[in-house]
Amino acid sequence: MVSFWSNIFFHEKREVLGDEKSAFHPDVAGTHIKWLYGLSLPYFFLVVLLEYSGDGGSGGIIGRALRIVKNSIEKVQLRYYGVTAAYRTQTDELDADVAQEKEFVLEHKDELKTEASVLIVDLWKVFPPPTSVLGRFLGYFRKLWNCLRKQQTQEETSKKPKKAVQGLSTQIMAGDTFGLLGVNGAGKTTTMAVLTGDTHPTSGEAYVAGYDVTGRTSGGVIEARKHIGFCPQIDPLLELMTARETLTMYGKLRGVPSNQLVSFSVCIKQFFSIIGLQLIRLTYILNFSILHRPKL
Amino acid sequence: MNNVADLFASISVQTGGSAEDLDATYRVVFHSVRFDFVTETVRLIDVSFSFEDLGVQFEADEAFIAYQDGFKITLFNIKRDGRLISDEMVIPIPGANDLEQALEGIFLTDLTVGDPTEYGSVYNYIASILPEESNTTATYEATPNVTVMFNTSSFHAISAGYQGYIEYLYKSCTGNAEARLISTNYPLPLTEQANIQLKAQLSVFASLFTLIPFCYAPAAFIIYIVKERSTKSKHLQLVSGVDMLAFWVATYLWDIAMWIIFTGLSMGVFFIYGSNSAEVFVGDTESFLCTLALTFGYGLSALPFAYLLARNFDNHTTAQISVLGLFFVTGFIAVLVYFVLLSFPEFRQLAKDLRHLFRLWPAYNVGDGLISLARHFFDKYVSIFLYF
Repeated sequence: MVSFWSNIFFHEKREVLGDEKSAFHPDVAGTHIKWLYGLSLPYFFLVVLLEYSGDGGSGGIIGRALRIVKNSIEKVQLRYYGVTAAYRTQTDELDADVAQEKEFVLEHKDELKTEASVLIVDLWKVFPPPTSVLGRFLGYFRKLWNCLRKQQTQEETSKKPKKAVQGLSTQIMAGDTFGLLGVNGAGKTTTMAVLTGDTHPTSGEAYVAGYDVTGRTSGGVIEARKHIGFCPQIDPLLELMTARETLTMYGKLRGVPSNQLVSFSVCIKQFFSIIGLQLIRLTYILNFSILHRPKL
Repeated sequence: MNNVADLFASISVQTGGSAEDLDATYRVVFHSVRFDFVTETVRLIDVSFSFEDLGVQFEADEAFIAYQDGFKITLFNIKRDGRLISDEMVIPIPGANDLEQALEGIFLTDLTVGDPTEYGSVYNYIASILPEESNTTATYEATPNVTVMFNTSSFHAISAGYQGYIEYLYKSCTGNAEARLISTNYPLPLTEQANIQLKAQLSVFASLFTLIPFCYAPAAFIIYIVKERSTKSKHLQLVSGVDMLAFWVATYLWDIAMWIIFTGLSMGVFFIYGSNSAEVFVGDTESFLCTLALTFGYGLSALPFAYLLARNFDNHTTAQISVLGLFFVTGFIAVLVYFVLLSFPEFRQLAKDLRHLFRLWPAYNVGDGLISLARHFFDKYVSIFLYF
């Protein structure tokens, strides 16, 4: 115990004789305060930069530079696992109509760019195996745990790169209603993620309303997003908002002018009565039943 | 025996008052002895000896002759007329170079007891059997042979043991086994120095334990971040046209606003404990401002640090527990690691090097900062006394 206290109180040789230093002196708590305040903004901007590198539509020049760095790292990773341009040509045999559509799109690419509302040209997305340090660390723990319980460790399938979208080409004209069908793991979600600028494709081109959504051109994604209404497969609801607040928020985000907000709220009220949510439009989404959530 | 005061008086006379009479040295004469050569050392049994000038004969159960800074004879269980007087008594044998000479020395020459005060209860006994006119008060022959054992780790143990001893004396003098002595304890108040020292030490603990909830707090903020991402709500907002920087600045500012409430509540807790118990933290304006700056600054840097950690998680409960654990490791554990490493001289340099890494962790900074305040308080008031 004596040694404990002497460590805390006398670990540095200091001249202490009725020490009259200020509490903010660097030897007291000044250094700590300096570091606490000094680290706040660097950490915050690190968060913002990392977020820029993950999203296709934000950050301007800095965001684009970060995404280029991130994509080239991903490409090096994929090359390490043997995914090259040659690898991408080895596709399965296509059905006749699919091949025909692909050929058509490749031929009339430049015209369709402006005509079609959505154009996808030979879109590929290959995910490299996850390389997170934390995940790998936890994986070792899981292995050790299975070893102790004398259970067979599952074969690691995640060591291979995952082909999510393989050479998708299609064109959707204005006024068309297009259904993208496929079995589990066919790449539907990834295609939607590429079209909304969330994911960067490995190769290929994608245009929404004539704007490039792969993040290669400046402002492409932002412009394209103005023409996208998007509903993800999971209910993207904030549980602490009411139904009316949710719709008002997205309305404001979509650019409803402030002088029309009153008529907009009347609109929302009518809309709720149409879909049968008028009674619970002021309750928190937290309390909504599973049936009501997708309606919203 | 009328009262206890008389008893104390007689005891003091026995030990102190007779010393003048015992100023002289006494010659010890050994009368008879039996040898026991079974063991390697020389063991004497049924020893009989006397102090020459007194002419009183003593017996001892056994004795050993051993070498320790010269040959010495150690007598055990010294009795007179079958009554135990002393457990042990050591008499040096001068001029003996080996064991044979030592044995001769016992019987051929008479040994001299130099300073009689060295011989404890035998000395007391001698004092008690001196001619009566040399004693001013009556003495009790029943000098009890009592060993009081006490636990040194508690301050009151000695006095409690002494109380038991006096009660025992009282019982044996009055001959009443039911007799009781009641003593009351009025401890002295803490001195100013001891008070401040205690306060500084407790404040170190207070800093450590304040650090634990400080580690939990940022984890509460990231639940909504992770939820917003995992439900794709953030993605939908971005598609609807929210700028990424605006999103994060809004999140950060809102969390800081919440953190201001947290800071207020923490400072409130310090104030509830008052400027006496929490003198180190809110005792004067300067330390109050310092604590406030540490608490608020912790939020400023811990929140983005938590956002960084939260990027790795998709499930908000896992994220909360993991971030909590990581803050605990980077705060509470790091502070302890630093001080534990300091206590080993060979790791002292390592501790100082590691500290540069620890500085990057907000939880370490706030924990070490609070401990620094306690140390500063200690330097200000206490260490002068400890150094000189």
